[in-house]
Amino acid sequence: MAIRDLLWACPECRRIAGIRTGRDGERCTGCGTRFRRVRAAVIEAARPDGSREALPAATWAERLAGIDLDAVAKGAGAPGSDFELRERARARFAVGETPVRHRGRYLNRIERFGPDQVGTLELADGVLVFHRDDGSDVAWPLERITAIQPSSSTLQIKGKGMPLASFRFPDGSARLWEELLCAALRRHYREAGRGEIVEFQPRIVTRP
Amino acid sequence: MILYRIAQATARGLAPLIGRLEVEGVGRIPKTGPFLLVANHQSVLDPILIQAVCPRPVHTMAKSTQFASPVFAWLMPRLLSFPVRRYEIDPQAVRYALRTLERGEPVGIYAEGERSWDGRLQPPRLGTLRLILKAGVPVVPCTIDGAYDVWPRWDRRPRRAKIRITFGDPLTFPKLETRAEREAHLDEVGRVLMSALAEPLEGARELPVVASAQAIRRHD
Repeated sequence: MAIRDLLWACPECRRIAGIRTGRDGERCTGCGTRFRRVRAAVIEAARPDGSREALPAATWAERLAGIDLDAVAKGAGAPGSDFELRERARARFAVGETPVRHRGRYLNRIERFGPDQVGTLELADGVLVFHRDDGSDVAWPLERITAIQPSSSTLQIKGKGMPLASFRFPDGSARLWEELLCAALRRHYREAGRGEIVEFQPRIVTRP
Repeated sequence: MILYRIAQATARGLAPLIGRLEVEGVGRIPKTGPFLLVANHQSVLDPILIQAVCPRPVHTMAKSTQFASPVFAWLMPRLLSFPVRRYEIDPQAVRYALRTLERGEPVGIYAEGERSWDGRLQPPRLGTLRLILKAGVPVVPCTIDGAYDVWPRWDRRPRRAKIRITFGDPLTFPKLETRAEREAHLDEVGRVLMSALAEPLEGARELPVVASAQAIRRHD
C-alpha cells in the first residue's frame, strides 16, 4: 500500500505509473515531484522548483480523471509516458478450498493459495499474460475473465475454469492494473457487442 | 460471544488513540429483531469501529481472503464475521446472512462492497441491493466519516483524526419473492440507500450513480 496505489499516474505531469517508491519516499520518475501524506488523508506534493501543494487525496485522484486509460490499454500509450503495459509481479494461485466452521456451523469455503511465483504481468492485445521467470506462461484471454477483485494491495483475477489468481506489484500500482484491465474489458465487451459493463464483481455484468 | 465482547470493550478503550470518536443515532438501532446494518466503507477500521459502538452484536460479511491465515480463520468467526467470496456468485454467504436474520440477529454489510480508494461514496453493489430486497428486514444506514482520514486504503499506518459514525433511521423495503420483482426495484433501493448514507457526510458529497438494473446480463 502506497500513494502510488491511489495515484496510478502523476497528477502533476500525468505520467502513467510515474510515481515510484525510492529511498526518499514516493517520487515521480517523470517530473521529480515528491508525494507524501502530511496529515489525515492529505497528500503534499513537493515540486522540484521548491513549491509545495497539500490537497485531500480525493482532489489529487480527481486530476487523473481525464487520462484516457482506454487508449493506454489499447497499447497506444499516453503522452509523456513510456509505460509498456508490463509490470513485475508476484502471483499466487488458489490451489484448493477449505471449509470454515464455527461451533459446528458451516460458514463457507475459503480459498487456499499456493506459493508465490515471480514474473511479469503483461496486458497484450486481448489477453492478460503472466510470464513466470521460469519461462512458463499463464494467459487469460479477456473473454474468459469473469471477475476482477482488488483486495488490499493485490489485484485478483478470476477466469472461467481457472483458479483465482492474486497479483502483488512490488514496485507498481495494483489500482493502475485494475483500472487498465477494466478499461480493456469494457472496450473488449463493447467491440464484441456484449454491452456496457456495469459491474466487475462478483461477476461481470453488462447492459446493452 | 465472550471474545466478541472482549474485542468490543478493547476497541472502545483503544478508540481514543486514533482520534475523537463521535457516535450519533444509537437509539435508532432496533433493540430487538433482525436488521441489516448497511455501511459505507472507508477504512480497514470500519468493522472494528462499528462493532465497538453498536449495542447489539452484528454478524459481518467479510471477504474470504481475510480468513486465509489460520489465526484469522480462528478469530474471525468468533468476532461474528462470515466469509464471502467476492470474485464469484456466492449463494452460501447470502444463505448464511438470511438464516442469521431469520434467527432475529443483525447482519452487517458494506454497500459498496470494498473500501473506497479516495474516501468518497462508491456506487452500491447490486448484490447488496438484492440482499436487502430478499431479506425484507429493516435497513439501518450507518455512515462512517473520517475513518478514511485515519487510515486510507493507500497507506500502511494510521494517523489521528476525528471519526463520526451516524446510524440513520431504519429504512423499510419490501420483501420481494421473485427475481424479476427484485431486479425492477434495484435502482430505487440504491437511490434511497445511498441518499441515506450520504446525508451525514460532510460537504454533501455528490451521490454515486447506481450502476444497475434494467436489462442487465451476467457473464460467467
